[in-house]
Amino acid sequence: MPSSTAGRDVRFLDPAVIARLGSMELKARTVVEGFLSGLHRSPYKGFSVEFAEYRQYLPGDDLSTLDWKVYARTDRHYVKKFEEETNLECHLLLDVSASMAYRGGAAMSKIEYGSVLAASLAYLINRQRDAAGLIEFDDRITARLPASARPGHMHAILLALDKIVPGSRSDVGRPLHQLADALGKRSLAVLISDLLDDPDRVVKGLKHLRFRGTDVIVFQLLDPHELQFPFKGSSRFTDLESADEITAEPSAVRQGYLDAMAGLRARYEKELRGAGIDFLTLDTSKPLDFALLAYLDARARRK
Amino acid sequence: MSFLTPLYLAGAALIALPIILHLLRRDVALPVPFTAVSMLRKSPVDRSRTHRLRDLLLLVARVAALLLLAGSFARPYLAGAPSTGRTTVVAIDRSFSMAAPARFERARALARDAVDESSGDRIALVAFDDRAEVVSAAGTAADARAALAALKPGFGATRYAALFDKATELLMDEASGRVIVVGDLQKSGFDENDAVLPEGIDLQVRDAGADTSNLSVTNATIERRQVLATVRNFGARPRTTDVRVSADDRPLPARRVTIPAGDAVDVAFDAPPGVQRLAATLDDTEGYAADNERFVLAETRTLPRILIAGAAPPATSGFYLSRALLAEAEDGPDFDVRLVTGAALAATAADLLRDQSVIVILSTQGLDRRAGEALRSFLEGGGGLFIAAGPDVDPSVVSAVLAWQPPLVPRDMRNAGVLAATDLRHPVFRPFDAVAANFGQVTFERAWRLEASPVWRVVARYTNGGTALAERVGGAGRVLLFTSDVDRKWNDFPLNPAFVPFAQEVARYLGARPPAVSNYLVADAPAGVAPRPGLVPRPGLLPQSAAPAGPGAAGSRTLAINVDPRESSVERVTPIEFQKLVARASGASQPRLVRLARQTEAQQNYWRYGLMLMLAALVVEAFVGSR
Repeated sequence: MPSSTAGRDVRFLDPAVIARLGSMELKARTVVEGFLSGLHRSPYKGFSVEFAEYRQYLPGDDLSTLDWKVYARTDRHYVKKFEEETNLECHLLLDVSASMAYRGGAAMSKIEYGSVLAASLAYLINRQRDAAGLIEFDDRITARLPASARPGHMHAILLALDKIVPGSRSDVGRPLHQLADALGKRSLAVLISDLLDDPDRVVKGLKHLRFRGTDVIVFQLLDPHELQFPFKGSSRFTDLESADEITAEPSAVRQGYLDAMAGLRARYEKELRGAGIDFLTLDTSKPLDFALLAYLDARARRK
Repeated sequence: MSFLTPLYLAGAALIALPIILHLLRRDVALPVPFTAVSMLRKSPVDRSRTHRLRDLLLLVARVAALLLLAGSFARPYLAGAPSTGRTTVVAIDRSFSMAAPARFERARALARDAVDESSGDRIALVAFDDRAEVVSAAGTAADARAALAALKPGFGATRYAALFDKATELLMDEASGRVIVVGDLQKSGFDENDAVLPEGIDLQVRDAGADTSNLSVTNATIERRQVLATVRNFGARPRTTDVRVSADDRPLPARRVTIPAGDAVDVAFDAPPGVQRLAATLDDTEGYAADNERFVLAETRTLPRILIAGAAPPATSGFYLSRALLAEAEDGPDFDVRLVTGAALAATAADLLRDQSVIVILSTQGLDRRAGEALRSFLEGGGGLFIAAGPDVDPSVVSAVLAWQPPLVPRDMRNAGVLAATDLRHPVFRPFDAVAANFGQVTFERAWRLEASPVWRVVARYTNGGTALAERVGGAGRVLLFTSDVDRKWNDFPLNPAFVPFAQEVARYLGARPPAVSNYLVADAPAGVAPRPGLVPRPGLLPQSAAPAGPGAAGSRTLAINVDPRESSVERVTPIEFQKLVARASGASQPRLVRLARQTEAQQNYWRYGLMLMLAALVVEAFVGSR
């Protein structure tokens, strides 16, 4: 997976730009179209489609698309043309707990960023004629839209994302266990959460999901302040979910916090990768294309 | 360390503020909403050693800033270390009376003795006449002796007040001081109660004089056909001497005169008229040499020049006015009057017009644009212009040549009544004072009626309310407008006794110039002139206006410097009388200390450093606070 957006126009993927756009549909369309317009020059061209017809080879065509069997039969070069496949079910699992409402140093809160990400994925999935569904949860499932490829369904998803309000405490493991039995085998689950929860419960839930045959991609959304802890001056930190308070001198606790955060991410990385789950940490101040690329990568691997 | 305004130190109590804040600030922490609070190790603020140090630094910087601010406003200074020894001021008289035979040598010997006596003190040597000069600053006896050896009498007059002022200044910051005055103790050196010495300063007097007689030329004057020298005998017995006079550098025959004791004699010499420079001398080997001669310059009498522009002949325009201005006083006429026609005025170069003091316009015939330019330039240069109405004066021409806006548009006025001064304080009418009523004897049958205008200041009116005399400024000069005529065509004013003084006062007012001074005393000699008697060139730095042109201009390029005749007196006081004549300033010590403190503080300016340090403390505070 490429880790750089260099060479592509990321202006419309910048969260600061996206945050100023009006409806969720406009945000999703802007992200996806902008992403795809950059993707045309990327090495991912041609995946997620199925054979449609043959066309005579023209200089410049990708040699990998040449059908050598036809060449052996006819002594002419033909390339295979493809069309999009339509049999994927993708479930977008969006964490709407109180901690997702945090916005420190980014243009959008984590829940806003997650909503745009979910909408963009839904738009992209719908564009590929796959079925997209949406599940919102905090310590339980608060809303669910089943997967469907109908065009009108995407609007229902976007409408639901537009109306999201932060919930209470998060318990990522519980809804994952509930969903494990409900999702089909050929489905793809995309979890969008900050994963600031008990990692044992989170990993167990995700593994349960994976065990049931569901492909899983996990996007961990973190605010720049959560990643860098740039606070100065004596501060009384109040937890958004538990209302716990800790008075601390940031410079004194910064290193300990950063180590703990790095440890958490490393643990997720290790355990989820080991279970065949894609894991990606997203900085909410960074463009969304990393997430979209990750999704397309997972989608391609399913073929 | 002392303070000029110690009350400001009370402001230092403000340091309590940052200290209290520092103590209260322990648990102050801003609330910060966050998510991963469980990952934060609890770390109380006040347990951080780094921040305890930072807070301490902040406290120190803030307290230091407040202390420095209060200290700076209290105006600190370091008082000089108290004198361990005494300072003695040895003052030696160097007036010209000290040039009497053997007198200055005696004074020098007495002064040397005084220096030797005071060898344990810091010794300052002051030479004085009408000024006091420190010839050796407070130091060792050797310095004073060396300076003493170079002294010699000058040409000034004794003024003890100058000496005691200087001694007070030198001793003001001394705990113990002494003044030793060495001189001939002339009584004339005391002016009325102005020799003052603060209490606490020891005064000693050494008499270097001796009873003597003295002949002096106390005055010399230049009359019309003779010169006079006044010779005074200050001695106790009659004296006979030869008096010689040099008039314009030509010696006149000497005259031998006998002057009674304590009396003066005027010695007259026949001299040609117009003497400008006079030097009178006498022989006197007993007394003071400097007053044996006197120099006089005839004070040049530069007459203001009046140029009257009248109508062309055969008209008699300007006749009465010129006669009035040329009326002779004791020393002849006070004005130099010239009558010209308007055309001649127009033909006169602007440079020549500038030499005039006053220009009178009685006719506008022949005045053209060129004349207007010259007149305006004359006014800009400070000249005076007198305009009298009359049948020959066209107001539109006057307005045009002088570029007056709005123009002068008078109406004809009949039976204006008599003249009454509106402003008796005006220089033209001030000399009339009680006799101003004489103007009431003249009836003005015809005059111009001027419209009221802010540019004209009314000085006199007719009894019908019309303006009689009005003034306006023009550049640096002045214009007086008389709204009736002065040629007896519209009135009989020229026949009235008040006309002559009126005309002369108008001319004096418009042509006023500072008088030139040519005779000075040594003490008053202008800057750049050596303080010694004689005829010396006038220094070029003097204002041009003090050097009038015209007849006698040669004299105006020279100054006569003479010694002060008061110094010629041989009347002396005893040392005890001298002590009594010096007033002692009781209670002057406190203001003296305050003044000393102020001077010391002003010289040291520690408050500036205090404020700079305060700024540095604030910078440190800002830097540490932002960490």
